[in-house]
This record gives sequence, structure tokens and C-alpha cells, in this order.
Amino acid sequence: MVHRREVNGDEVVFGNQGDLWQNAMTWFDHDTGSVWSQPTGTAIMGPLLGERLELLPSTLTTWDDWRHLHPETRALNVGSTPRGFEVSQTAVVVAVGDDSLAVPVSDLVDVGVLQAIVGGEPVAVVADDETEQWIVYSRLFLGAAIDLAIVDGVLTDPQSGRTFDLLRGNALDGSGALDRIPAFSSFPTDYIEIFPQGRVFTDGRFLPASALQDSDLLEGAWGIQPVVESYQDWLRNQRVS
Amino acid sequence: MAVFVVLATSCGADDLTSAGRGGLFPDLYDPTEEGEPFPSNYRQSLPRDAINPVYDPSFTTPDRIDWPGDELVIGVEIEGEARAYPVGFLTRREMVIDNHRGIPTLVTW
Repeated sequence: MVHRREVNGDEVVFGNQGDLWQNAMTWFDHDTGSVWSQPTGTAIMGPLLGERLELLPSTLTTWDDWRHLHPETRALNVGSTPRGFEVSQTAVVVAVGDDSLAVPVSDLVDVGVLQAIVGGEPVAVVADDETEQWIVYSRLFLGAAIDLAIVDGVLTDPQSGRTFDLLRGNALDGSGALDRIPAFSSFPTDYIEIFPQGRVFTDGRFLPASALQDSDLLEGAWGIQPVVESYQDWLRNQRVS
Repeated sequence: MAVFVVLATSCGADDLTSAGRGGLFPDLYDPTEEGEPFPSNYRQSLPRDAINPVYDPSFTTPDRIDWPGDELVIGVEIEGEARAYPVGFLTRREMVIDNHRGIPTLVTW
């Protein structure tokens, strides 16, 4: 969505409120701190309650289609350094049944592939060390449990020598594809609070989440104290929006 | 309206800091911390700017871009100038505070 950042003719700067209203994102404005709803473009709490931003025309299309339509288009430079929150500060959380495991992305990038059993399921948590993209696979392939490792930069079953595309999971010999295991991003500190019975892989070893309650992990950049159910909603919203 | 302003200036900073949800904006008024009635179905979640908006976007030309052709983009054209914002990037940063041909814009995903 694209809105015009003006209230009564004055330019307004917005930030991310981080809350959900009607399961959708909220903003705050830097002038009054009022809380705004993205889908409606209206202020829903605070001094500017009831004000509405003008919605501007925009399209959702593919990069190919857009640049052919607009050869002179400018493209957002996405290489700029983020301020504050970065992917490397988050953890991958795998939850199967009542069991769960969190792997901080910074730890995952160090090992490339982390093998574990979560809820009885043999899994591999995999990351591309350049882009920090991650994915979680079942290690049940063609009816058997396999090992997965990075060999010469390629995701490989060392037993059979079979190789797989790192982020798509398809076997490069065409014999099938690894099944994906649902997983989501969390801040390590949030995970420990939400899943006190869980485990965290950090510094090369698995630790019970309860053992980390007082550790350095809790001195994360934000000291976040989430409301548990809303955080779960937030995660769901991240994946469907 | 005036009531809110008084609240923001008289008892803002300390309370908000101890509440911890202000994030990078401990001194800015936050109605969710001040006893204002919540609209229904409102859920508190992350601190302000825990997911960090792009406050100073810069742009480049298509020949310097290596996005896949099927990468989704939000396309905006204002007064003849087109701009593309890739969705894959927006899912991580969510907000871009931009100025587009003199029009202050807010691009969100």
C-alpha cells in the first residue's frame, strides 16, 4: 500500500508500532505518537484519532513487467545498512507437536546445516551463509532417515552422495525433493519466554531454554517483553500478508 | 485532545522507559501505555521500530539491479517518475518513508 504522509497539509513521519489491529499492522507517527492502522490509513488511538491518510495509486506486479512498462523506473536500493533489527539477531524456531528448537541465525550460519530431532522428526535446519536465508527440511527421504551436510558448498547426503538444492530441497539427480518442515522467525529472548520447555542451539551445543533464562541471550538488543498470544498472531500475520 | 498533550509531557518519559515498549522512542507519547481505551481486536506485540522502517531510501537504475524477473514489486508512478519497491525486501522491513517528486509517501507491506 502507498499512502500520502500528510495530515492537514503537514508532512508526517511514520514508524512501525509493532502491534496488530484487526490482525493487520499498525504505525505510529513521530509527531504525536498516535497509532495508525495500515489497511484503513486512519489513526485509531492518540491525539490524531480519526485522521485519515490519502491512499495513492500503486500496483503489485513483477519486476520484469514493471521495468518493461517503465524503462526509466528507479529501483529501491536494498543494500543499505539496516539500523537496529537485523536477520542475524533472530532465531529459526522449529516446532513439531509439543517439542521445539530455536537456532539463532548467527549460530546457524556458522554451521551451515544443523541436524536435530524435533518431536520425533529428524530435521535439518539449513542456512545460506551469504544471504542468511534459512529453511528447515525433514531428513526422511524416500522412506529412510538420511544425514545432510554441506560438502564442497553443496547440501549433500554423505552416505549416498546425493546432492540437493540448498533452498529448494530438490535432489539434483531428479529423484525427489526434501519435505519442508514449517518454521518461523523469533527473537531468541521471545522464544525462551514463549517456549520455556524448548531447546536452543547456541555456541555449538543444545541447551534447555530454561537454562538460558539468565544468560547473555536475554540481553538482546531490545529486551522484548511480548504478549504471548499476540506475538503468535504477529508471526502468522508475517507469513500471510 | 489537549488532555493527551498534557499526559505526554507530564508523565511520559519515565513511565514509558520502564514499560519498555517505546524501543527507540522512549520519550514519545504512546497511547497504548497511557490508559487510552483500546479498539476491539487490538493486540500489543513488538516494541516500536523493532522491525525497522527504511527512513532514508535511496534508488538506483534497473541496469544495476539483479532481482529475479519474477520478483514481486510495488510499483508507484507520480508525475511521470516510476519507482519499484521489491516485496521480498518489504517483508523484512515493512515500511519505506519516501519522498516521491515532492510528495511525501509511505510504502508498506
